[in-house]
Amino acid sequence: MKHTNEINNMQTSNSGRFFSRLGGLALLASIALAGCGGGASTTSQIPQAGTTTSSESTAFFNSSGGSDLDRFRDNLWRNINATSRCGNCHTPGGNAASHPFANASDVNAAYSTITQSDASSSNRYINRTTPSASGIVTKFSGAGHFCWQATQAACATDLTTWITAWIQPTGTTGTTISLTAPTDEAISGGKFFPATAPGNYSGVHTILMARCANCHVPNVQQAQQPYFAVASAQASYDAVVSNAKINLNATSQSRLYRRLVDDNHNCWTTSCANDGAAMLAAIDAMANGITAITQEAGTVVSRVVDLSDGISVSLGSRIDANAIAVYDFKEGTGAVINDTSGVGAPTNLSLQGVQGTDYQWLPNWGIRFLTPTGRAQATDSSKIHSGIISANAYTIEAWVIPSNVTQQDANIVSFSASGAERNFALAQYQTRYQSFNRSNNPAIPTAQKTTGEPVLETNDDDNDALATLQHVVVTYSAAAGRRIYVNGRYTEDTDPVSGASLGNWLTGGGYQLMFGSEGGARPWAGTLRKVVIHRAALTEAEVQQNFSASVGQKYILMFNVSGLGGFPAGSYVHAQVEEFDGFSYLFYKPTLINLNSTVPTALAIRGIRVGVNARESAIGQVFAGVNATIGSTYLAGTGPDSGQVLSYLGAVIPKENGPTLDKFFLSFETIGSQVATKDYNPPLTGAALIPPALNPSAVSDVALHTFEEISASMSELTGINRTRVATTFNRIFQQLPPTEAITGFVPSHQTGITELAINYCNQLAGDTTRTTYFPSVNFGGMSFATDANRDAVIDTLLDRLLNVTSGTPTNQPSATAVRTELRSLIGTLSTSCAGACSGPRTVEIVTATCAAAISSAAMLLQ
Amino acid sequence: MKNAMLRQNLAKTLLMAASIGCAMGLSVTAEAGVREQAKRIHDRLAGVPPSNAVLTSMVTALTNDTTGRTAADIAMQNPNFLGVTVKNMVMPWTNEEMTVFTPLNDTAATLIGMVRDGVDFREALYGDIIYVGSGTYSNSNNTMYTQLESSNADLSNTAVLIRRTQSQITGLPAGAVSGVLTTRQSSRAFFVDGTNRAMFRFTMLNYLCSDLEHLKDTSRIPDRVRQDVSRSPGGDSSVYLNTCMGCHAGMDGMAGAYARYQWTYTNDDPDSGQLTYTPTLVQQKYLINSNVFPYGYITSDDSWINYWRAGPNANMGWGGGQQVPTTGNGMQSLGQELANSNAFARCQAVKVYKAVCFNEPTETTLGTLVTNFRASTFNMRTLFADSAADCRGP
Repeated sequence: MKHTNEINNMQTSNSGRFFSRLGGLALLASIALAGCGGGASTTSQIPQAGTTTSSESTAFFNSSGGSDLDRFRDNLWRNINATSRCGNCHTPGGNAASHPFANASDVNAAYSTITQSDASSSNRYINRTTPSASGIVTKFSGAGHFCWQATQAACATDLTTWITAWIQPTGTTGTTISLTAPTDEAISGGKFFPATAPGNYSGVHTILMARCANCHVPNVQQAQQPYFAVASAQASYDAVVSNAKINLNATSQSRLYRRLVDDNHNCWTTSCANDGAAMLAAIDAMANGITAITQEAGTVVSRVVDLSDGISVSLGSRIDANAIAVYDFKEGTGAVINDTSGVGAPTNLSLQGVQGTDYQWLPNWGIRFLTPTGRAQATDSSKIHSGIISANAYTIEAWVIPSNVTQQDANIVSFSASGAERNFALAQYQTRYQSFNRSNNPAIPTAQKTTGEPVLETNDDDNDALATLQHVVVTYSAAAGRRIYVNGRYTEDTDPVSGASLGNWLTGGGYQLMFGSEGGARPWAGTLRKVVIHRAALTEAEVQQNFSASVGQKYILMFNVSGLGGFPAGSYVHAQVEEFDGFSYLFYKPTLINLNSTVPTALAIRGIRVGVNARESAIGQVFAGVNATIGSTYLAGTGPDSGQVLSYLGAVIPKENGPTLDKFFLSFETIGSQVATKDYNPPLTGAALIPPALNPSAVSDVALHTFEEISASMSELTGINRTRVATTFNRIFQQLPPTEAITGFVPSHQTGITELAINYCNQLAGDTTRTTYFPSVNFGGMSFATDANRDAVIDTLLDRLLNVTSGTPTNQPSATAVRTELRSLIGTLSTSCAGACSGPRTVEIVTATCAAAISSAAMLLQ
Repeated sequence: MKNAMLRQNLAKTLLMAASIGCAMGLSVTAEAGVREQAKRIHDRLAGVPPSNAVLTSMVTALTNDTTGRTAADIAMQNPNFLGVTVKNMVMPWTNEEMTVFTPLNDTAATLIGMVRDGVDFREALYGDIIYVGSGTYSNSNNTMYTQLESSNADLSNTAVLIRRTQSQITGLPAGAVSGVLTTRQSSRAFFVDGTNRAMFRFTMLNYLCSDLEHLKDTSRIPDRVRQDVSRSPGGDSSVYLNTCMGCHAGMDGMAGAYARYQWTYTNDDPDSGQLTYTPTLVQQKYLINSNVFPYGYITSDDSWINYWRAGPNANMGWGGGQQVPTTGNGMQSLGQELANSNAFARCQAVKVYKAVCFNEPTETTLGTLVTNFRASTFNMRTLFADSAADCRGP
């Protein structure tokens, strides 16, 4: 049915081609017959017969070897010569027979056509340096050209993929890039922060003081840098400027504004939008009062470039020989994710939810699932089903950015019918990646087969899943079972079950390829940058190669520094640049080069900063630490690896107006003989050097002794070594006051104190030292009838506790009052034996009186 | 039966005593004089009540020396000053949980010994010093110190807690020793697993009284931020640029000094492990997760750079006052960098004052404390004495 539809469509759009197509098929048939005896050849001329079968004509092949012509045949020609694609017109007899690069009947002729040069010696059909710039690709930059995909862009992507596979075969490092000078442009200027806070900063300052002073000041409990909510307008301004919280040239990108509207960060009303608007109005009022100037005073800057000046850097070679579904997420908008593999009918996925709310396209290629509603699902996944079960092997390859590492049971890529029925799935469980797989392994119970269990997951201790860009791969083969790779490295987690046939995989009945959830169940929050389904298990080396190939579009920007500080004409600092994510650019490996082969020597370059539009970015200036002298490590040439690398690091620089509007320059603290006069490190003076103020508060003069002090105090008062009550202390010490604050005292503390006191006193009353401590007590038995009798116990305790002999300090309890209480206690305890208490009872009374004394507030308070 | 009755009797007796104990002392007054001041100084320095003789001598001392230092010196002679007050002040510095409820260890014992002997306290971060018991020190267990604690050893006795040269005791090269930070307990707490950033964070917390939140400065050069730090956490690089980088730019610059240290252990038992130092190699933990951001800094030696000398963290009062980044190699030199900051001196003063007076000092008081601390060549006993004297009451 599909085939018929394609034919019907072409009849509609390309009148008359139907009949020529029939002729082509007849010709192909005759070629096929003729070729049966010839076979393939590695000579420069390829026999025409036998190279294409009906099944091959719709399959994507990739060859890792052979001549350029071989690779053309295997990677491009076989994918475009079908009448459902370029071969319908771009072939002799077709409507576009003047450009027969898809000659369906003669691969040699097609190769000859597509590799020919035009009058200006550049190829009109393909661009070996930048496949995406090939003529047959850019034909799809507009609208109206016949396309086998849903969009023109998707066809362009298909062609780019095939051309890349042809000209950058597996195992090679890609084509050579020659650096060229960009269009010359000077810095256009903008607004800069004056050193002194302008008067109209007051609006921003007022809001900051009123709304942010609970945290963004130094002398509060939860002090949070930067301290821009301080009362001093200048100090506040300095903190705002140095931490890049306001963008004068793109005020709506100001962090003070975005934190409110994007992050709902401590909004002060119920509407963060309104609060943000108030902040933005204050920022605009300030920015509007600042006059733009051409260049910041005292800086030394390069010429200006933007991304359109960039030299496109092809990604490294990938292993896609068995890719049956490829998703690059280049669409940028809409509700469809295109399968750009070019293999058979594309397995496109439809996005669910609302763009911007539930999902979000990323400008640097990718899609981000924001809510559980945001997900994608195919409607016909039969290609994947049939491709994989026939191979009994597959690979799920995905570039992902999990939004967090707290989510669990979150399916990233699934071939499922529901949250409980699946053929395969790649999922995240906190910091673990998981693989589910249905197979015919007889050892697996049926119920588990349905869910793809037992799960293979990465070791929890390894924290393999991180909330950052990661290359995650699951491979499966009947022979080896499952393996998980993260960033090109095998995680060494062993599949709990052996591999088996995939013949029990299901299709139809709701079984579809899904991204971001399983039909709404097991939602995953994160970003997909690329997904590829292979009908083979990639080897470890192949996984590593695909990881090395990276993802996204990269450019080389050439910053002209000719004439600066003695650098000769043709001098550039180039850097690889890409959109890092929705918020920033990544600048990598700045390198000095001279395109005129005039190598400057003994010239210094120090302190490089990236400028965006009018000013140096206030944050992220990794290259500011560069300190290089051009000389012996300079490599001659004009390629991207030529010149002298100034830094191997990468700098993440915030976007301002977006990739189509932002212009970039480099500034230098020193370049050759030219030294910037701007003070990049203004010293702090005066108040700025004063450390954060302390926060003394009114505290009670009365405090508690803490746990160990209590034990030590009791030891001092009784003369009993702490080791003798160690068992009790070690059991209850956490029941004693941990801090001195009297407001923290609770009844359980007193219980612990009492128990400890009883132990000390019990030791004392049973110790040989007791007769020294209580010289007037007869431990063999005595009378407690009179106060004098009772004072025999009390006197020593009181003296030790309240320093009676040397004079009780007035901030201690009254000795008389305490004595009265203790006499009363002994009286009560000796009621039954007041005239003649036994020895054991005497010991008990001494112990109790001692405990009452040393567990009292007289001991506890200080 | 009789025994049961006796136990019941005793229980009733003690319960009554307990209630009496609770009730007594509620009539404490806030009136004070020299005697009362002496009592408070003793209570707060020694943590225990004074004997009659000590109180009398302190009253005399306070009368003759109104600064209070002489009286404080008498109180500090009580063994509990070291064994309880100082110990409980420093114990939270020896573990990640910052809890006082942890066994005595070589880090705490060394800090206690340094207080006892009036050693320049800056050496806590770089000195080749350790305090041990009379037995044999072990690099792989803490037994020596738990025995000191369980025997209630008198830490004020120089024959009980003995000053030694750390490199000779532990075998760590003298150039690799960095005060208490390279003692067994600190290594166990802050070099175990992870990336060794814990050592930096807790050094800042415990010895400079600054957590990273207070030091965050996104305007510094982030060229030492390692590869393992995501520049786009959750796909949002603004989080990195405005939050993560503020700490990592400075921290990773300095934490390079720890690149050759590792807490090595087996059988999932870190408590029986020991410190490993590789003089020429960077520990693997500095190179892990290199694919998180391949364009990040790759540690190749133990160099460090202090970017926080410039920018708002210049208010840490770095030694010499230069507001340009300083550099060095190894933990010992970084220890000197940190210990010579004004923040270090202020931190010790604030901590001692809080331990003794249970409050933060005023700026004026703090200034005096720090001045005297410096004048005494960073003798902690000066801080204890001055603090106790300051809050002795009217």
